[in-house]
Amino acid sequence: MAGFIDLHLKRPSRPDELRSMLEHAARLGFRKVGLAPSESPEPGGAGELGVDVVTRVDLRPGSGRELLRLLGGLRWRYEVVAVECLGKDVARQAAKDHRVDVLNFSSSLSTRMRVWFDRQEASLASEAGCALEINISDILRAGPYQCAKLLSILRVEIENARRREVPVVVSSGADSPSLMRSPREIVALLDLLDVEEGEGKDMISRNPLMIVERNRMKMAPGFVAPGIRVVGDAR
Amino acid sequence: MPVRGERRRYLLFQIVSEGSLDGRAVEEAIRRGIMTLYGVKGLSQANPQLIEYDAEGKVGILRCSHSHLRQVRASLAYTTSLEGYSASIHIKDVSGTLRALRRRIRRQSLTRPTPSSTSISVP
Repeated sequence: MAGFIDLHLKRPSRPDELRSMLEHAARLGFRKVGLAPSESPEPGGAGELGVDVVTRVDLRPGSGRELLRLLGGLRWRYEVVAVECLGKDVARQAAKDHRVDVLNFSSSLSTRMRVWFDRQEASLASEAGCALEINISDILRAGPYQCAKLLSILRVEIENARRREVPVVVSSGADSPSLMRSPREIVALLDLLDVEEGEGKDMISRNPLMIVERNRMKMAPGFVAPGIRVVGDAR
Repeated sequence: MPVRGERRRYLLFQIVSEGSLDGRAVEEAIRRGIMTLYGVKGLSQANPQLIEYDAEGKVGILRCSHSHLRQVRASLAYTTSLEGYSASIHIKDVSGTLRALRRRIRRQSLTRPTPSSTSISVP
């Protein structure tokens, strides 16, 4: 078992809550959590809590051109590059860019009904190796009627991802401990999206781990290209 | 012809909330949660029943149908507020028999340093 990963913890409303969120994540059974670096505690602090912090950047560009500008130089600084697609052009640009790891869609239902992970998006993401991220907090925050609409969109998005073999990552997207759920609870909530238990476990373990390991390998000293690494100096 | 009884699961759960809750409110909230997600049919199939609840430790034991455990888990995880307070319900353990679950609770309460927050009074 790869261990469970919550790839997306958001900045808590109260700064002192971050430590309790990391403690809570460890208690719930997560081995790794994704956090933007400014939110991360001292590396030793996170280690002592029993969780490995994955550095992550969330980009919210207004246009495809702005996304390209933001992406310059980021790849080598963060282990996970996520893009929140607020417009169709941003979504298309992000899905075909190899520097983007994770595609995230708006938590606002009105935006989500306009910009979502459609078939064309899935084709581009499949070629570029991007993953689709679903935040459980979006489901928890929505009222029953909004939730029903959101679930129907998510169901289609997951089906599009399945067809094109795009990995789906499920994260909490929580900004407070009350919105964090254990891996088993997340897998149970995926029942609402017709995701089987085994597939659901992969969405919170194997799929995010694949992204983290791939990028950590790229960021390791001596990395030249996929499959090529400098192992020592011949002199 | 003898008919085999329905298989059940016993869930030990803990509520994380700032407000104080009594057993009746908790059971009502759990039923409402299942009803919201799975409707009347889902609620009748899951057949949840609160066996016991410790209001001080905010832990309880819930019985449900074995075949609808995942739905009950999802409904508890879906809960974000109870009696107007922000809340979450976490399942700590699941067992096929009440006796085995109580045995495990006793064992955990012996090994854990602060049993008052996680243990439940065993009659």
